[in-house]
Amino acid sequence: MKNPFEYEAANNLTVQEILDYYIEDYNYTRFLESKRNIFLLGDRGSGKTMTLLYNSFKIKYEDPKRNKSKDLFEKIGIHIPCNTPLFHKKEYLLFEDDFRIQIIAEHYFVLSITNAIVASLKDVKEVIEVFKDFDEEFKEDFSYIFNIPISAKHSFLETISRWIDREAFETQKQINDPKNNEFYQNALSLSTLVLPLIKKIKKVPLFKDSHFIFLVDDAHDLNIHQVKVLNSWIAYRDHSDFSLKVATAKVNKPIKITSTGGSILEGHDYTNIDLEKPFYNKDSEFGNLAKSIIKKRLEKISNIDKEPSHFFPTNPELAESLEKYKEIARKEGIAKYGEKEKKKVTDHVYKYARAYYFRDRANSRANLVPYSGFDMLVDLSTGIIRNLLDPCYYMYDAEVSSKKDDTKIEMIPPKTQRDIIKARSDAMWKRLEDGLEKEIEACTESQGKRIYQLFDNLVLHFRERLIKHKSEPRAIMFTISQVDNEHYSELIGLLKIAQMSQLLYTRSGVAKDDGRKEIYYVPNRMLLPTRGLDPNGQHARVSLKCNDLWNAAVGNIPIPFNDDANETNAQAELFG
Amino acid sequence: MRNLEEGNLLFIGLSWEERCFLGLKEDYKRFNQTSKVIILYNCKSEDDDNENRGKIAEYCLKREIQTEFVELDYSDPILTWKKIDSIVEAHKEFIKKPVIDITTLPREITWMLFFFIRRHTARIYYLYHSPEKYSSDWLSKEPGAPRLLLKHSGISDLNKPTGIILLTGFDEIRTRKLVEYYEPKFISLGIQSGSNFNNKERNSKDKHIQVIKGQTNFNTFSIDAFSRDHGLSTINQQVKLMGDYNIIACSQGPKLSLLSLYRSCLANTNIALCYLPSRQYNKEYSTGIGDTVKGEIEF
Repeated sequence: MKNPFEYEAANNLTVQEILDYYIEDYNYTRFLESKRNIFLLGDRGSGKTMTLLYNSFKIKYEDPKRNKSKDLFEKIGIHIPCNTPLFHKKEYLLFEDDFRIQIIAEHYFVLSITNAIVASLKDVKEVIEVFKDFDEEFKEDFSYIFNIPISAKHSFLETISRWIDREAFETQKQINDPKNNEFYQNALSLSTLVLPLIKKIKKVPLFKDSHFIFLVDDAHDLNIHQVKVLNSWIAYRDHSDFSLKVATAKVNKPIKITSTGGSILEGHDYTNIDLEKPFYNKDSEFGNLAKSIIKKRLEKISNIDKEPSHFFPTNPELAESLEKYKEIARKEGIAKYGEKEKKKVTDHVYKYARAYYFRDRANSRANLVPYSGFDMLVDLSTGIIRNLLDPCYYMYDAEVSSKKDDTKIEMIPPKTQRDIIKARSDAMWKRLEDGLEKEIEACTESQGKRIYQLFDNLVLHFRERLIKHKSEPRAIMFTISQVDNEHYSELIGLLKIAQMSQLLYTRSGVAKDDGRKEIYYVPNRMLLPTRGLDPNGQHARVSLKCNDLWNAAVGNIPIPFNDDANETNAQAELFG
Repeated sequence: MRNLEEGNLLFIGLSWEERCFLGLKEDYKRFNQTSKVIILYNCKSEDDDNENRGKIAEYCLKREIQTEFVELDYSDPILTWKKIDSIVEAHKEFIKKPVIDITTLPREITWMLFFFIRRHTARIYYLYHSPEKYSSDWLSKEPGAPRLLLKHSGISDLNKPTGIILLTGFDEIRTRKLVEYYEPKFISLGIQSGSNFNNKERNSKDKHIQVIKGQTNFNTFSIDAFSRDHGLSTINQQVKLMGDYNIIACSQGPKLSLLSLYRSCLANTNIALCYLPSRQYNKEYSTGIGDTVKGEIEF
């Protein structure tokens, strides 16, 4: 029985699976189809690869909804994955001069791009037909320039494909040759191969107005030489025939230096697009996306036509208790503001109802909160698709394992949900306790310990707020204040490691004081169930002093709690 | 001092582990014609300035065996590669009977030695000393990014997906790390058979599956690195099954499996050898010295 919540790398999905699973976002499509160079920023699991693949020609052509679109041949998306063994090869770094290193780095890149171009087009029936009149001429031209053997048996695109295979083989064979470290003399570049190839393709009437969009995936995996090559292409003046859309993680973003030592500038050479969506509540943009993803997967993979909230029902006791506390908060609001002040009363309920429930649970010796329900899963995802699928996968797996027959899984009982959420939350804390140095490159043992202490104290602080804070008890995001501190950069270093391990995410919002954009931090909400906190959170950011955070990390000193702390109300438009 | 031309040239890795020095003594018992010991050590490891260094020097001096301590930076494979090249090149006249004690050499360094020594001779003797026991606590920390071995990164086919053959070890976090890093379409987990060093529990199949479930497709197979061919035929079977992949092969299991992986890599152009570095090892990683495995590898 296939688990509908598998979250394997999008690169490994079939065309049909991508069409089945992806939920289109027209905003991204618009950007990706523009002629601008774009950096697409998103944390691991936020859907970068899926977005690029969905906008590639190969997928678009197979999509019955889109293959009749008039711009199908106007915008040709070419997906270029960088996390492949070819990109991980480092032999060329043995060359003594940077120039040669750069040339081979570009050569490998160009082989990958050319291969991706021809692989996208060569098997498309319509393309084969329109190329027929040009095949001989193109083959002859390329054969003359590159000394490619030609045969009447193969079309132009097939010929290029075979030649690229051979070039890749020959290059690797020579560069891996145990007997020498010789430079590969026939190295290719964007201007010697890719651009002439595009020019040729555009001679075919069907492609006359085509703009090639290189969808460069996982750019954070590139080494510095490969990044410089990429940036040089971004800095290219003429982008009428091609543009680059580069997907990269937020941490370890590639540098912006080109191979000639220049730099690329945001606004001038490229535009940054943040892939992360507003995710605050179930009706937010991310909430709707999450619902569509789960619904589509249930339908397509498990043949289940159910709303996600019915497949992942909330524990009745939790639902009932939350209703009870809503009523308490409502009555309290009415008593405070009067029945006519409906908005104020609603705000009061929003702020306090859940807080009262979790407060009571925190103060009592009751069992773990029965964390369950689809909305809870959305909250726990912290706005990351992979984080949404992860507990769902384990819940489904647990149900399959406990069944004795082959009957369909019609829903995940609240108890299973609670158990898995608890287990996944515990596992996340265990990773912290064991030390991130065990898994994160560049994290030392001492940093691992500090990160654990920092998170431990942060969560204790949030818990204290939940119990005592008068106006924003459920705030679970923070900004850093008083950054003019000698430890600020070390603290940021710790937070970056936490980001790399997906225990922390960053967002940008408008600061309350001066309206400037500021970065705020969102701990992975899966950390909260183990400590009995509410993953739903609240529209508020806690402003924490750099020094207090540093003391928490280094000295394990509790973060001071101040009921009058200067919190920033998150901007509503950011969260939808 | 002994004449280099007649004896064996022995390569070992300096480590604080007891079996580093105890192993050298065992090596000498088996290769008493050793004329020079080349001791490779990591300049970035503060722990290598340990008492084994003095013990090795003194032991060799007494027996008129030449020694050369070679400083390497294990975190920089390019520099290390060049340095090992120059060391082997400097000894090429005397490299007729090379012996490598792989016990405390990182896999990457051992493979590099194989590569350069192969230029001068087709036969290398190797020795491996098991510890008496491993620490029951953590073994390694601070992993670096996985990397492909220089000149052994295979010939990658642009149209094939990535597959991994991983010979698993005691640390399932490393299994997860590999999958997260390379995002393979498929991973074949080779689990060491037998119950030595509490292997069944510490290297259980389920532990490894648990950390990759949902992220990629996988199968498991059983392998015995202590068998006569160190699991080579088993690895080759897996390679055959994964003909449609660009294979990245990594050994986290018993050290001896590095021999079979290396040989498989030489025979199969679609394999890239991968090394997963660590910057910190538990000082109590192992204690004492156990059985010794000696053999020769022919290229």
